[in-house]
Amino acid sequence: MVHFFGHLAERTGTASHTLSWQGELSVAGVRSLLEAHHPSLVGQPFRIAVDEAIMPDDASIRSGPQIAVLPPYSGG
Amino acid sequence: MSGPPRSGAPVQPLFVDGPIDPDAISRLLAPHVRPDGVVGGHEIFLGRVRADMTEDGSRVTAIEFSAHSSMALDEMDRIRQEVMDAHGLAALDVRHSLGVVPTGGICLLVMATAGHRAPARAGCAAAVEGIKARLPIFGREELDTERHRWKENRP
Repeated sequence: MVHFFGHLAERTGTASHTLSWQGELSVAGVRSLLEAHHPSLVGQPFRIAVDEAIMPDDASIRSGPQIAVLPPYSGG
Repeated sequence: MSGPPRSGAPVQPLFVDGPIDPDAISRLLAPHVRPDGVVGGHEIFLGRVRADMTEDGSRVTAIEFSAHSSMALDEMDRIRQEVMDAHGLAALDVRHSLGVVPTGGICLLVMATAGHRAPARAGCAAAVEGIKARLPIFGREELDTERHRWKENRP
């Protein structure tokens, strides 16, 4: 399941949906897949967290875990 | 220095629904009156929602905060441990609003407790910076023109 936060939920018009792929994808690959599903994400800065941990750019991600798509933070 | 909370440490509260009541400070102070008398001071930071003006002349009337709550709670535990260890704090209390906070409302409260003023001040400042940079919290600014924009923290 992919969850969108902040203005990305507004842009994509959804808080969450399912997304699956075969094997492992790089962070860049997941980013491309998300942008293909949601063209409104193109050009938007966001980070990807898997099971609540931010993924470094060189990480590989398996389909299945909870994925959070996070825009720049604005707390405080 | 980072890592999971210390074994057996209770999960600290973080989020408050709507604006933070200024009386929360008194309630946070009470448990720090300790019989051993080792606490020498507290440094408190309060963040308020500012009536910022946008480029087109609209004014911010409120911020609606949302968060990846479970991730924010875990990250706050890490920030707390790092800051307490780095500055030798006795305690670090934090409250952050979720939901709508009108202009002028308090949306962040950080209180660092230490034996002396220098670590209390430094620890409080480090915690505020960590909160702004590392907690997955998102602010939607409501404008007086019935539009909105999304806030973004900058270093």
